[in-house]
Amino acid sequence: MDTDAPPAEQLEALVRDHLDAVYRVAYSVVRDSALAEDVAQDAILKAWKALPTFRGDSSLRSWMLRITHNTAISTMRRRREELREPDLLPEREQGITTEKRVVDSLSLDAFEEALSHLDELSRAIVVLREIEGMSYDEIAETLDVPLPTVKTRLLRARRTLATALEGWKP
Amino acid sequence: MIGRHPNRRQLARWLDGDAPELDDHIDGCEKCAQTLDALAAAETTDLRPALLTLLAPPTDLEERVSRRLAARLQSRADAELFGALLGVPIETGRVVLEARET
Repeated sequence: MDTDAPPAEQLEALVRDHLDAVYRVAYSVVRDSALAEDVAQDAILKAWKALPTFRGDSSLRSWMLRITHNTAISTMRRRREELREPDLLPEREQGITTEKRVVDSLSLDAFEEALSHLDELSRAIVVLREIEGMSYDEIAETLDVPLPTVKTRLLRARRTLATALEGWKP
Repeated sequence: MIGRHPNRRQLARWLDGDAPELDDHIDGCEKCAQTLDALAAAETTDLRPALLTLLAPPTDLEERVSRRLAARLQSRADAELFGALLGVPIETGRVVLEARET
């Protein structure tokens, strides 16, 4: 084991405390569960190795999700360069989990479709706000974008998604 | 911010995705963000349940990722030890180990 690496217990704690959020942010960018899992794994490993440099200027969660978002964007750039064919990028998943099947409906399909048509940044903003409950300021810092961008993208994305969700009940 | 602020009707069209020419202005404009906030105040749809359903991590994600991370760390540790024994850098140790396994 690298003698400069932080203790393995810290890696376990990052996985235990942040993996779900990391996965969701990764998925919001790459839209493919296998790829999102790879990104999540890479991001957590990067964060663990960089823990000694974490200064606490932001919350640990914001810092980790920033690493995750950057890792996901880099992964997508690499894939685009490899494929050089936008049509071959991951589309909506065909493999649906049992949980998803139970609640499947035309409205949820429409919602998923609407979500997939948002740009990557808007999807990440929606996830950080609606699921992770971050403030606008935290989102701006995490994604390194101006505050007005967070607000306006979120508003438009919310309207689009709300329209697609009409009639669906969990 | 350059240019005049869009009026409320133009902002409402932009919210509906019908005025892409306003993207550049609105993306960085705090005043327009505030106006849009007011326009969208009536929007109360709870998106969280649907998002949680669609973005649910696989149930065995933690177990799988933990296992894969442990394997990566072990592989690195082996390469470091091997490299130290041979007096070569870790990457060389890794290459030699991988060559032995294949």
